[in-house]
Amino acid sequence: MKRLGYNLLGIATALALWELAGRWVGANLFAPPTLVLVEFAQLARNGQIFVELAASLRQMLVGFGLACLIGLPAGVAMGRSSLVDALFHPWLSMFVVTSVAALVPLFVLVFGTGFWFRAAIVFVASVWYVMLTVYQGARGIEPRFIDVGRSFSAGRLQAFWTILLPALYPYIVAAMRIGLVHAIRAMVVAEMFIILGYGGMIYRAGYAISTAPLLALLVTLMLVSIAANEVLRVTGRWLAPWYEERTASTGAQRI
Amino acid sequence: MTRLGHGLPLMAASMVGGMILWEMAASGVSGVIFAPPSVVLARLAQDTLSGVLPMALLGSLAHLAVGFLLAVAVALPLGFAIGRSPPVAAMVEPVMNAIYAVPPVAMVPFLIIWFGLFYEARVALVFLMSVFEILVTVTVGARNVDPMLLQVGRSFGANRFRLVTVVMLPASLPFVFTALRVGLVRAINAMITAELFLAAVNLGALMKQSAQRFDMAGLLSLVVLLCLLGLAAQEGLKALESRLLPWHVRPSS
Amino acid sequence: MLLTRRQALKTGAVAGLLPLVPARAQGARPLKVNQLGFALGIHVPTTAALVDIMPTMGYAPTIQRMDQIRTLTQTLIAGAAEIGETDSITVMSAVEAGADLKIVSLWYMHTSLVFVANADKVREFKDLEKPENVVAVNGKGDITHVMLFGPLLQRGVDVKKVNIVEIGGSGARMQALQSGRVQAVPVHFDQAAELAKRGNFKVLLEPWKEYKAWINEVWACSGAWLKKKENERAVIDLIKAQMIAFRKANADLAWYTENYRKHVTLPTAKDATQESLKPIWEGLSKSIGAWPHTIDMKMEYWNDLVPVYRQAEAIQGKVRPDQIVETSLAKQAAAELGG
Repeated sequence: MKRLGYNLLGIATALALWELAGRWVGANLFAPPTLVLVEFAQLARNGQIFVELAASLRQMLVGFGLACLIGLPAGVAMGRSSLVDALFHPWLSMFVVTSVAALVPLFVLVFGTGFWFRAAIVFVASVWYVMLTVYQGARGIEPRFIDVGRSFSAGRLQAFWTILLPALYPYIVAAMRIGLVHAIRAMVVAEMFIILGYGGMIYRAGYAISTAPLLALLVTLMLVSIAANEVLRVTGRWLAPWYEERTASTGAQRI
Repeated sequence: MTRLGHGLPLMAASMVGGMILWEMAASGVSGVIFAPPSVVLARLAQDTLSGVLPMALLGSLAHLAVGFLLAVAVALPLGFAIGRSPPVAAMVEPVMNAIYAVPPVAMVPFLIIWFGLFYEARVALVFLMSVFEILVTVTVGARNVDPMLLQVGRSFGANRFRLVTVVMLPASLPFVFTALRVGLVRAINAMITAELFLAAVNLGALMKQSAQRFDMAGLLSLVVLLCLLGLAAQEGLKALESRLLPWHVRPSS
Repeated sequence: MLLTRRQALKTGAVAGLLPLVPARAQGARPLKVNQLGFALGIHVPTTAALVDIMPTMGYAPTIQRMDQIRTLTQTLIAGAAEIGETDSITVMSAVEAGADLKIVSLWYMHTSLVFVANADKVREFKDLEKPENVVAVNGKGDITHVMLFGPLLQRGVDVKKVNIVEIGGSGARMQALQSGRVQAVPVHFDQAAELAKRGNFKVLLEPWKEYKAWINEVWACSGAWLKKKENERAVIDLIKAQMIAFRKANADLAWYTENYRKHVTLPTAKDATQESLKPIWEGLSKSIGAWPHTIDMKMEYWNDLVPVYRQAEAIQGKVRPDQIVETSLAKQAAAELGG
């Protein structure tokens, strides 16, 4: 309850600062929240915004799902095997730097502008972060845990299920949360290029003289991203509450 | 040492394999659309020797360095504060997560208003894109400092300042390095985004020029240069980490 | 025995083709078209021709939109689209780089792009030489740069002194102008009117007054694709559809308003009325003459523009316009349509 109070205090301070800045420069340049709220109410009444958002998020989930499906095992393999690490780490270190905005034109040529274009962009924007996070976790697991397991004659598979996976669990949740933020942002950047879906709405709003519609769409995006992240966090805790406590007490070495 | 011993040839083999795949993917495709690595690397070498790329890179590194250092200077103390104080965390985190969710390209019009089109605006974008990345990681690190260590410190009568410098800082240094690494990756990304979407200069201007002329070899040679820069930055930080924190860097099994 | 087997084969072949034949005979011919991301007042008739009139002529266009003219042009080269909206300069520089592209029609005549300047700082062209005045263009060597470059040269402005920056994105350029970060930007005619309401922003340059014809956006396709007779037919029909739309747009403000509301991508487009659109419509239809009764692609338009493109270093000048511009299809379409 106290936490919620501080949350609200922080948000209220940010909104007040924004309102002041918005009044200072005017709605054409940086619309204040009071105007953005009016704009948002109009958009919400129209309903179009939610239809577009739902469709965009569905496509995003496919790319993000693939990124987790491939990135999580790949990150673990890299963290636990120096062979896999040597083979793939240089590529990971290079690709993680490339910006989505620079990749989009090339992807349009390969995938067109259909479903797979968006899924592919979301995939490459999030998979490296998923891999990196899990990799850090898998690398940080104390070898002695595994040794203890071995001395109790646990098989490789058994060691994975009983030692590695529980130790990795918090990293997996963190990797998915970090990946998801990148995935949602990439979805918007890709859609801004092909002027479809929610990103398309943002692109079009950029042509308006007032910045209120653009800011209303961006704020909605913020809310969606926070909500999606919260869902992942709560699900992670609900699925395995004991792991989070474990991390908090012994200290996860890296995110 | 053994790890590095057989790691290097493997890395080299992996790079060569990747190049072969790329060369195959580019064969038979028009040079107006894509270019093979043989042509791209030759171009990279040529433009490096002529001094065009080094000059542009230096210009780009200027705002990268300033923006990134500012981000570190803000994010490290703030990250510790958020990690150790639940009220501060509860106040800052919602706002932080909200801004973190916005794609940087969508921030550009607003950056122009506050910072203009040139150097200051580029520094601002680098700062914005890397500061949250560093904050998030440092926060987790500071939050997860072993309570037992703090207990020990307190029982030896350490005051708040000593607790932070003697116990917390060393205990969270590994996190700090991870944070710096991720932050630097995002900063490089921001560096080029700023040059493409604000007033085009340095590497960004070269990229736009090559694109304008359908010179895909030139465009891809710049992409490769950025990738190499990213690789060098991460390896450099890793090397620094293993020198400063030898106890932390464990060989993987 | 032999006969029956041959017969069997024949029947089999016909049966195999059957699902295809009716589809081609009854259904419309699919046409993969790429179009630019935004559509403003000047784009309305051609967009209507593509979306509404082509289907009545037996075509089923599938339209993909994208933001960058260069990527759009590359999709034509790669065969990912059959025909698309691009601009004259981009096609020429792609051909110089080795692409096989043809310009087959215009999207409209002249351009609705104008240069708007902050009238407090820039009163005449010479003011652009001052170091404190910054001009924003989309990209050096693209249409927004070249259309300013030519008139500056003609007026004896020292182009080396003009402080030009590249900002991609019309939204960001308008923000930069309004916040005083730059003093002149290219915008479309209809946006200029909107900007004038927001501050002391005046039109500095109207390209259609400077040149016999200022060619901007064109229809282009690959040369290999155009060699097929049925594809050539599709292009002729497309140009006919365009001319039908041009004539309607010039004659009928109500038709124009309806299509403006449908096709323009501005957030305010849905609220447009005949009264609010009348000045824009008159400007485009009468003053600029954006929608000619008959599309006439004269080689001299390009011959006049190529030297300007070269001076602005947009192209090297390795290829001649007559190697790229295909004028015969527009002639054929005009002859078939009559009027």
